Amino acid sequence: MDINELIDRGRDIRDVWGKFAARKTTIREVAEATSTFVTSYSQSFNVAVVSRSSSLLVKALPTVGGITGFKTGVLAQQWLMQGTPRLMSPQVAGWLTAGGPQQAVGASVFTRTYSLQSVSGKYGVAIATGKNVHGANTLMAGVKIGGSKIAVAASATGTKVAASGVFARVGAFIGSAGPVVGTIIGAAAGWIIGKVVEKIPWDKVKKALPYIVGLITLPFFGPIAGLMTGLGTAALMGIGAGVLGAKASVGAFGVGIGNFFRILGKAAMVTVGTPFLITLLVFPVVVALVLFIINSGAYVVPPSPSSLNLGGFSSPYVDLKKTANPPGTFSNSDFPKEITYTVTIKPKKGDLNNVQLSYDCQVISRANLVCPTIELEDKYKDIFSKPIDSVSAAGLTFTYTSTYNNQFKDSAIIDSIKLNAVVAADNNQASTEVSASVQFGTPPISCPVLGGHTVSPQYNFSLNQANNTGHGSQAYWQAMGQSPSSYALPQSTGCHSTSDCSYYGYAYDIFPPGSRDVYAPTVLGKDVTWSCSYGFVNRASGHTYICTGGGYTLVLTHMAQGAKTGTIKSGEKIGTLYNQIGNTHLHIEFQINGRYVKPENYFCGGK
Amino acid sequence: MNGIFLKNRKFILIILFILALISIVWIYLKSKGQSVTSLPTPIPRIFQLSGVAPKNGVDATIIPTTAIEFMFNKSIDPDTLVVTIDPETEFSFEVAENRRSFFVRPIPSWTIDQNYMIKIIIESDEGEKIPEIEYPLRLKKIIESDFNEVF
Repeated sequence: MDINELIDRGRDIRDVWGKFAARKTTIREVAEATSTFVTSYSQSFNVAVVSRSSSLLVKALPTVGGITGFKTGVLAQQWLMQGTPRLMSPQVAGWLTAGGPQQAVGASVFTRTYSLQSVSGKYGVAIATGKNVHGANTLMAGVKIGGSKIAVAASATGTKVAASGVFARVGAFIGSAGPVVGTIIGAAAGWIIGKVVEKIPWDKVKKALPYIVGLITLPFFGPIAGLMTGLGTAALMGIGAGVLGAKASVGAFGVGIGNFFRILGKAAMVTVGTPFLITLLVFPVVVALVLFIINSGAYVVPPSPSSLNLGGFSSPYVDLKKTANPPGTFSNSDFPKEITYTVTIKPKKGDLNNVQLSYDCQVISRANLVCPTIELEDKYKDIFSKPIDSVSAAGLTFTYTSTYNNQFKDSAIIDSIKLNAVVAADNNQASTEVSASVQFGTPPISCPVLGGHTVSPQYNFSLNQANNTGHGSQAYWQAMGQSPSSYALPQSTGCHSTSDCSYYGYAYDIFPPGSRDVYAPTVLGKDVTWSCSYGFVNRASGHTYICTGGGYTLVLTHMAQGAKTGTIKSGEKIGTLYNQIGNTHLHIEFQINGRYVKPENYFCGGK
Repeated sequence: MNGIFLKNRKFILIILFILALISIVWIYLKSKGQSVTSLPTPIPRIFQLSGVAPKNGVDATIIPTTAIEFMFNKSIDPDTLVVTIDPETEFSFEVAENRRSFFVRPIPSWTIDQNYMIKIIIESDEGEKIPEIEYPLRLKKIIESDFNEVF
């Protein structure tokens, strides 16, 4: 790759992330452009950089250094000693979640302020911003294509950098970028890198590199090579404390970067040379930009309702929303009740073709009931029987009504729409679903989340030792971006493996198809009078409420604060789910007579 | 900076090499200090308690309704089970299906910050006896959980 190509790629990535911010491109394009640019040297691997301090010296950037106070400290050293990166699992590295980055910043808490994650097939991009346990602004971004992933996580604890020169312009750019400022990482990085690259004496550096790489890495393969390369990196890039007059520890920096290059090292052995050099020079600049953005504070954006998608059922191509009017729970004296359901289809990335909508309705009742016939507007009377040729970016809204009579007392109605369409721009398939529900009296709800079900049999059920799936399995920990046994399962039991207790991994995740309301369930079809109380906080992932009754103990985790406490009967609303953006779900644990059992055997039909 | 580096290339490389060696030694020593030597566990031949959940009863952060699980390396004889809890506490016990563990469940729940002493007398199916098991228990209120499940 020559300099011109590098610069072109920088511009490409800026453009594509800009389009992503404006929702005018596909995940695939973003992921490919970014990873092509950043990871051209490498086949795969997890790439993680951690910053614990962030004094950023403007004048150092043009000479590639760019970062001082870059300390990874104990965390990176642990990674090195363990031989495996703890930051990201192979499955989620670069497909950022709060789990990995929170370790990355060495904090046990990461409160997300804003996050955006989308996946399409093997392509995925993710951005998250928020604060760590120290209250420092933290930012993460990642991209994956299949098994190839790259991720950056950084946290600001140092002083803010003064915006001047090129940074002022970057800052202005960021400031005008609107709410999705996180996406500017790629854009700004591309722009800056292009400028920086122009100033690098490539010929001189290229001459020196083979000696350095050869001498340092060849005698030592594996982790040692990474360390050596890392130390070499620190010096080569001129980030030594003496040079910049800062408090940076060369050793710590070297180890931190060493971790990065240790992972990279295997590929670098094969393709040492220009790609390696480019990586060496490019990556710190990207990190510098991340730090700058963090320091600027410009990216911290409060979540807007439009950005909130319920877990597991969102589509990168279309927003499908449904409301019931009047909403809420009704008493058994409110019959007859006419409910108007409004469905809105809003394409996110251009027109949708061949839009097929299917309707489904389920009644949860002690009687054997079916939903009443719906009444559609004349204009849309065939909307569930014939595909719609095209839905433009302007979207489509239609309504229908259902009238419920007194046979629906103590019933819940889950009214659902599924959408399948073809995305005009790239012929990708768009699929999603949404539900709206209404309740009369106290229905015999067996699932605390109406219509809720799992989205991944591999992770969402209780541990199944036979096929090593479910909570606490290897796949689960990898998906969480956590080290095995990062926390006890069930929670707070001290049980980290099957040798610790017989009920390790007994837990169940339920994702809502629409409403985030959580109800007191029945158990095996029988009503229970629960006594619910606040349990404890789950740091960055909501709150836990504990309900007991009839010899049962039901642990409801990832709840929003303010749920109802005291006596609650089956069918009554307890509260709502904590908004985890694309990860909103209910985690439940269940005891019978003090013994943990697999919750899926008792709730939601084990779906 | 790159210019400076190129002029002093050999010198810097030597320093780097020394630094790297020092680091390797340091990491080796540090990891050696932290490593836990695990010896193969001998196959137990005698009846014994193999574990209790929660492992650490003092300052345990379990939900107060949680039963304490006592696990053994051989099948137990439930008829020989004697459980006493001090101070006197209403409880029930339940033997697991595989008869390798049993649960002591408080009725209705353990009291936070109360010091309990659970004493167990049990024999194996084969009549093997073990010394009385003493398990101190004191629950601590759960303030927060490090559970952070993000898909």
